[in-house]
Amino acid sequence: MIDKSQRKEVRPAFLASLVVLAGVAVAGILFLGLRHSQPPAPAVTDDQTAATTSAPSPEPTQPVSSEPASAPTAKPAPAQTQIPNAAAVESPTSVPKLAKTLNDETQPLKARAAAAKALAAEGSYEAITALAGALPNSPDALRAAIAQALGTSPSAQSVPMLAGMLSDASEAVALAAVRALADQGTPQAIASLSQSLFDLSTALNVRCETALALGSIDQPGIVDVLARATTGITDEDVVTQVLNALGSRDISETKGAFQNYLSSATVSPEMKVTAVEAIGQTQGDASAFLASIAQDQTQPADVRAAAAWAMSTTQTEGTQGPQLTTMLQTETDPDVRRRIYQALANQEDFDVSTIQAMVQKETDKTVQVAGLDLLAGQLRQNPSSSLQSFFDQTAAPELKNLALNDTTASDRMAAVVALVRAGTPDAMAALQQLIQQSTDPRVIQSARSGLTKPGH
Amino acid sequence: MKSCCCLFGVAWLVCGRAWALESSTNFGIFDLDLILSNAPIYEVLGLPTANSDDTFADGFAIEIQDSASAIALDGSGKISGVAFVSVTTDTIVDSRLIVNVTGSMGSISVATFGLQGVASTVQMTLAGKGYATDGINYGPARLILRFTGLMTTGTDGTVAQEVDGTFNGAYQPGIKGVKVSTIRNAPATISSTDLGSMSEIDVNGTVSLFAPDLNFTGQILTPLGLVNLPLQGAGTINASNTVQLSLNGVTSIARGSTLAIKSTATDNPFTSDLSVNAITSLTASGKILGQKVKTDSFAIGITPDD
Repeated sequence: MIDKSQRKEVRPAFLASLVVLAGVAVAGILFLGLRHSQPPAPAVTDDQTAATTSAPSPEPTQPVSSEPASAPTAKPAPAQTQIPNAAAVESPTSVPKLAKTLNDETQPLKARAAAAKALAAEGSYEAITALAGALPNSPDALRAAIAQALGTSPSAQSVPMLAGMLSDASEAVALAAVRALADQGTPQAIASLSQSLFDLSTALNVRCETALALGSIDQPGIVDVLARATTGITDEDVVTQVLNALGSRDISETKGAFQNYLSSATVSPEMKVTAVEAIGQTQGDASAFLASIAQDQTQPADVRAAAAWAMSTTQTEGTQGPQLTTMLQTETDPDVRRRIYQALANQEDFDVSTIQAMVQKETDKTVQVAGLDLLAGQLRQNPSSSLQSFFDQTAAPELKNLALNDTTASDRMAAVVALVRAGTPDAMAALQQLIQQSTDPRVIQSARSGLTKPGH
Repeated sequence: MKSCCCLFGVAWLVCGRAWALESSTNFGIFDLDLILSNAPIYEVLGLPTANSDDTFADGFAIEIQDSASAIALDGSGKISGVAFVSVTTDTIVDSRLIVNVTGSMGSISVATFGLQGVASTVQMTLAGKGYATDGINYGPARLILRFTGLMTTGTDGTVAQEVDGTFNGAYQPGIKGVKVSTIRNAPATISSTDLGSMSEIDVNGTVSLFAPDLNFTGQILTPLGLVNLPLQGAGTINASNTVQLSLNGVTSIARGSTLAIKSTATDNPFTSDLSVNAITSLTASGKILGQKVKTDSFAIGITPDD
């Protein structure tokens, strides 16, 4: 658990300054060390870092390369071929070469980024020092590449360096640092990301990305942080991404957080819809939870409709066919009814004859098309003679009529979708007639597309 | 004391209304045609596809083609449809499947390198069954793919030409002995030919004026006419000729669409000479087809309804 007061202790701007100053200083030390062949210094502790930042920089920052900048082509071989990949870095002696490439402004950005990646993977004090030294004077793209590289670095210095980059003036660098900290996924990385998420001075895009990054970390306490963010943050763009972050995790660990959010009297219906749609993206079977929301008459119709819709988008088929069928018998809101029909298409089982009877009684054309589309899918998956008879005699002519004459363009398209989905000879014939009779170019195009089978 | 307050309140309301009636056109029915520009929204009409050049997880290449599809998009940006897709891998396995398509369009504040502003998003799930076409060891094939993509628009309203995103999911080719392949972050694209976009939103309808109250009934015309959204709403015009309208999508096809309009003017735009040129500024914000819109670029026409 990350305490809010702890997050406030270290300000990002201070960390950034610390890292930049330390980077300049240690780069200078490294430069001198290389020139005088001195052994590497021991690992830097917090106290030592602080001391280093107060020391004057021994050397001006400049490219380590001794090659004249105007004659890069005089080198015997292309620089790219000299750069080992991360896995190939085995000897400490390669670090100076990588550092040289990293700081060589005549090198292509790709080569310098590759050097940064190799240095980060190597992870030694010298390698990380080289990266820190390159940060102050590198272009944003390279600094973003350094941040990205630090995401997989074994060095303990990676997280504090990345934490300092969260408040970088360049949004690209800050976003790269966010993703890199998520890659690190350590408690310290989580603490830094949490601080950034709640920090009002952090750029909006960075906060949004931070929320998503936290959601991708598989560590204890993450859901608690995100749950607190849903109520503790007021910016709706950020909260939307926090909800999406919760939605990226397994429903078994996020259900409580979503329940609390949806039961809050201060949350707007629009944000509740956002939450419900996020539930539709969760891992695991959320169908029972979503069905309970769709059935909850204390929720606004928009939220209930969203819950039913979310049931149609879950990756695993739900088990709420009977419950949804029961809901249809009492639900009066046409939008919720339409979404329930769509949700039934993603359930393992439902009573087809009951649904068929209800579809026939629908008076709202949009709802009727949704019901017929459900039956069309059933006809293709589990055909029965009675359903086929109904579809050919009643549904196909009705869908064709809707596709031709309905005043709502999306209803016309939905009718075409249902005919394509059914795929019966009568449905195909109806599509053929639509091509000849419709004046709606999209209807004609989709009918024609629906008649085209794969491989034909 | 309480009675005094009530009386004062009633008097204030009566006077205020009388003043409003006096100071502006009192009532009438007008045709309103409002074009909002620099507010791109999109209609997605086709499936995302993956290129065989893109190597998926597990080290195999796969190609997903949209052989035939019918996609419907409603006013709240929800996508539903059906498609026949063929899936080809580098192991010469070719499966053909019928997939159910569900998804939605939305917006996010851009959190991607080099991009600014609001971006429209597309989420689409393709789930279905089919068969493998290998003649010897064929069997049932299954596919579930979730596409997440982003369309970006510049601050100048430049519209995107395609939706770039990724596929995540699983594919069972339907060949005996071939395991289910997990697909993670495979590049996928909804091409420009399947994408309708517009940078202008045409709102037209009828305004009933009984100053200071306004009522609106009309519609939003979307890019390809795939979805026309019926709108209703109410608003006011005040003594400073500031007009505010809050519009909402009506009927199940348009629910979820909202538009809030506020204009300022040097003169009452509902006067007899219909001095729409007096409107000095107008801002509109809301959500159309699931996507956020916000603009202050406009052209407006107001004419008496005959």
